[in-house]
Order: sequence, then C-alpha cells, then structure tokens
Amino acid sequence: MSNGPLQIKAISGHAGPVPGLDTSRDYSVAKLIDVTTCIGCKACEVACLEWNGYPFRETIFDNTYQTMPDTEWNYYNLIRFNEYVDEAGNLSWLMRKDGCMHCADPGCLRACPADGAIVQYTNGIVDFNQENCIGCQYCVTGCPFNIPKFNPETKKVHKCTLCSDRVGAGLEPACIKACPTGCLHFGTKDDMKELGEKRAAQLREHTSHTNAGVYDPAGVGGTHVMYVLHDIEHPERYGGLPKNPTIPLLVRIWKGPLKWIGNLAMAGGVLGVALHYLRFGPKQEEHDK
Amino acid sequence: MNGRAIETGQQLPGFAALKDDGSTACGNWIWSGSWTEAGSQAQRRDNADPSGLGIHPNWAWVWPMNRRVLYNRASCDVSGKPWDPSRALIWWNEGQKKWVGNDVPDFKPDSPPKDHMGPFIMNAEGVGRIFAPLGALADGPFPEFYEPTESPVENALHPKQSKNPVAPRFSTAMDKYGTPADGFTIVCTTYRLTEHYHYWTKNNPMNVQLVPEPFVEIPMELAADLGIKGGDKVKVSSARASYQAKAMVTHRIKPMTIDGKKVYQIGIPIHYGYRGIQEDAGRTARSLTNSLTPTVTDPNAHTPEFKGFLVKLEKA
Repeated sequence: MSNGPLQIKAISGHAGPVPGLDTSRDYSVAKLIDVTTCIGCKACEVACLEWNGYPFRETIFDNTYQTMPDTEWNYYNLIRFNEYVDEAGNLSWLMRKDGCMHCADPGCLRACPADGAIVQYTNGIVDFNQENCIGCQYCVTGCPFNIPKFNPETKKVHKCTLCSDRVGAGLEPACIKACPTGCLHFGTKDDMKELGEKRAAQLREHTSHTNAGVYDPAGVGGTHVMYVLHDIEHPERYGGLPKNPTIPLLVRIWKGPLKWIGNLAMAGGVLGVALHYLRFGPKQEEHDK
Repeated sequence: MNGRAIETGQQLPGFAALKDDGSTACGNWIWSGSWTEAGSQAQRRDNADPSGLGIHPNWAWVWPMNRRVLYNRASCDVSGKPWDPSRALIWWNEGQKKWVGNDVPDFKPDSPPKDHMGPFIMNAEGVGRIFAPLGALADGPFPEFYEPTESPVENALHPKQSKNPVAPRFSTAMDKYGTPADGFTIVCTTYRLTEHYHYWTKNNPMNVQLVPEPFVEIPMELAADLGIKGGDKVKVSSARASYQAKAMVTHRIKPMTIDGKKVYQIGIPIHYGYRGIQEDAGRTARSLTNSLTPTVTDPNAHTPEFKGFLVKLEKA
C-alpha cells in the first residue's frame, strides 16, 4: 500500500508503544455472498437503488420472484431466482445476488480504449468514470459476467461500484448494510476468503451439500466479490454463473499481441513517411500557370 | 420500559422492585432489569461461560431477569438436586437456604424443596399441563387434533367429529363453507412475502417494483392438468368469494397424498387489495385474498383459520 492514512511514528509523553505502528495492513476489500443463507428478500436491491439515487420503476410479473430479467444501467444488483430439480426429484430454490464481480484481472478495463474511463483501485474495486467514457461498449464485450450496461440516452456505461464512495469513507457497501440475514459479508479479501471456506467446510461436513465451495474464479485472477455455493461444480445453476470465466479471446488478442502489432504498424508508417521525406523531399506544389 | 422510581428517577434493578403504590413506573414487567443504573444490560458483551453449558450469563440480557432457561427448577429433583449433575442449571443450597446455580433461578429463591412449590410457577397447580381442567382451554382438558373447518379429508382420529366443535363461527351470508363434494377440492393457503408489509407497501413504489402484481402459486402438475401457463390469468373461488390474479407455476409446491388421494395445494400472497399503485392504475384486479378465507378462529388463541381452506381453480 502506498499512501495509507496518516500513521503516527512517535508520541510525546506516551507510555508504551505507538498504536498501529509496524502493523501490516491489508487494504484489499471483498464482498462475500453466502447464497446458502440468502432468503431472496431483495433488500440489497432496494439499498443499491437508494444509495445510488436511481428511480424505482414499473416492473412486470413474469412467473418468477425475480424483479426483472437482467441488471440494467441503473439497476446494478439483482437477485436471480432459479428452481433446480435434480435427477432424484429434489428441489433447490437457488437465489443469487448478481452484480459486478470486481475481477482482479478485469476484462472491462482491459478492453476499454478510453483514458481513465475504467480504473482499478489498489483495494480491488473496479470503477467506471462516466465522464471519461466514450460509449464504445468494448467493456461489455470484455466482461465474462455480462455486467456493464449501456445507457442509450447518455451513451455511457454503468455497473456496480462496490460503493467505492462508501468504502472510501470507511463504510461497507449499501447492500451489505441492508442484508437482514447476514448472508452478505464485507472485509479484506483474505478474511472473506477464509470466512467463505469455513462456511463451505461447515456445509460439506454438516449438510448434504458435499460439493459446497467458494467461487473465486482463477480465470479472471480471482474476484473481489465471492460466492459460497451449495455446489461449486455447477455454478451455472445459479442463473448463468460461468464455471470458468475468462476474458474473451478476441479482447485478449486485441489488447495484447494485436495492440503491439498495431503500434508497430503505426510506428512503421511514421518511419516510412520520414524516410520518404528524406529520399524525395517535400512535395512540390504545382502552381497554376 | 425498565421501570424507575418516580421520586428519584432511579432505574430499578428488576421487577421485584416494582411497587403497587404508584411510587414506581414500568412499561412492561418482563423488561424490568434490562436497563438498570449500570446502563443497558442488553449491550453487555462478556462471552465468558463459566459453567460450560452455553449460558453466557453476562452476554446481553434476556427477559425476565436474565434467566436463560425458563422453569429451570424443573431441572432438579424433588430434593432440589440437579437431575443431571453434568448439566446443573440451579440447585438448592441448604447452607444459604436459597436456590443458587449457573442460571438465575426461575423460582421463589428462598422456597425450600420440602415446601413442594411446583416449578411451573405461572400455572396455579405449579406443574406442567397435559390434562388442563377447569376450562383452562375452550376445547377440553386434553390436546386434540381437528381438521380445518374446510378440509379435503375427514379427521382420521374421529371422522364423526372432524372439526373443532367450539371454534367460533359467524352466521352472516359470507360464512359459508365448501366441501370436496361441492367441487372445492384444492387446498389453498395464504401468506406474506418478504418484499411487502401487510397492505401498506402496495402504496410504496420501492416495494411494488420488487413484486409488482398479486399472483397465485400453482404446482407444475396442477397447472399442466388445467392447461395453465405462468402469467395466465386465473380465478380462484371459495364458497364465499372469488379472486383473480396471474398464475405463478412452480416446482416449489408439490402435490400431497392424503388418505391415498392426490391433493393439490395452491398459495396466494395477501398483499393486494382495493387501493394501491397498481390497483389505482387499473393494472390488477381489485380483489382481496381474505375475501376467500373463512372467518373461523381457534377457540383459545383466536387466530383466524386463513392458512388452510378449500377452493376451485380455473383459467380466467
């Protein structure tokens, strides 16, 4: 961590050590969503709208408890409801709070060509700065979780900020604060990972969920939003959570080797023009006779 | 709530300090002792558990008087010794002439075992009740099972007296009851949703956005039998009224097998009615779930019997 808060080094007239000195601090943050204790009340959805100042909207009954089919540019947080019936006929009613995963290797950021439109903070939060967004929607292509959403009126893209404005002020995200069952947790990435693994082990040991595990996919470098799932082998049952999410190949090539080749081509072009100038000199204008 | 002395304003240590001469005031005796002169007892956070029994006596506070186990005198034999010495909650201390222990005694603290005061101090006879005479319960001294007023089956224990004979019933034109023979073969239940609060929140756009319309939850198999698809309008009729809403076809309600017969159950959330954002906009039927339900109550607790009654279901 480069610039933490002011740390006192010495104190006058003080007995004992300086509080907090030489302690290591982990500034990375993470949200842990224990889907096994979510009751689908949607308090997190409302808290998200209220904190971000977005309007309530008219929704349509669609044979489900899910508020709407998908997240929207001004609806970052959506609980997906799925009824899963296994081969033996046992039913699971699965609820998953869907939203930005805050990848350690964010595909949106990799894909974005606009300077400063997407930033990743050292604490792991990936944030969009709409004032720098050019509306190209490459981030939409780059995201393996289908999270960034385009506002056609302003031509800007939006997504969950992990309440960077709250976290920056030492508060937890609004959804965490609203959760009545405590299925949403917020803390350092290490703590949340440990908490999640502990819960998953508890489920494996004491319940029939012998495949319980923590979803922290390596394909995107791990995420700062993690899930405890009843069955880590089948994340797709929870409303299309990808098993092995990766940044799309096209984005990786485009922003990797192709970018290098493109730069080379551009440099080559400039060099060619310079050589042409040296060899043939400036273009002579033909004057009208 | 804790209770205080009116003259001095002092917070009382517990309900034993309440007086019936007007010198103390208290909102509710069971909370007396929760906020004493030492401050909020509910905010205590000492997680020590000296007895190892999970009592944690100084962690927060429970009513009444921070007793962790009610009627804990029953954990001792007649002579005042714990039935199970490894799990001793309280015991009679002959030297101190009082009840002591790991928990706060839920008992007259100085009543010796030889006086045979019963542990169930809220009952006149001081013992637990399986047989409750003297009209303590409206429907007899013994616990008994009765089918709901509207049930798909007769009572397996005593078919000739299937329903509770002393359950209060009214005799207006709306107090009619349906039977399977009249075609009311489907069990209906009513409930609330986490997203709504009674009938209030149908006026709040925040809650209405989460669950915009009333619906009827219908098992897959029943919906297939009746040709109902999710989102179709359906009509639910009881002997008293009918109700219209959209169908939510689900795996979550399974058919039941009762007395060898397949019985379907449907469920209706109660939250919609005459007025509200959706009702005023004309987007939903203005029917009330509780027009379907029977106005019959439990004779003791007077809880209405809205959780189990009979209906017909059809496409609207």
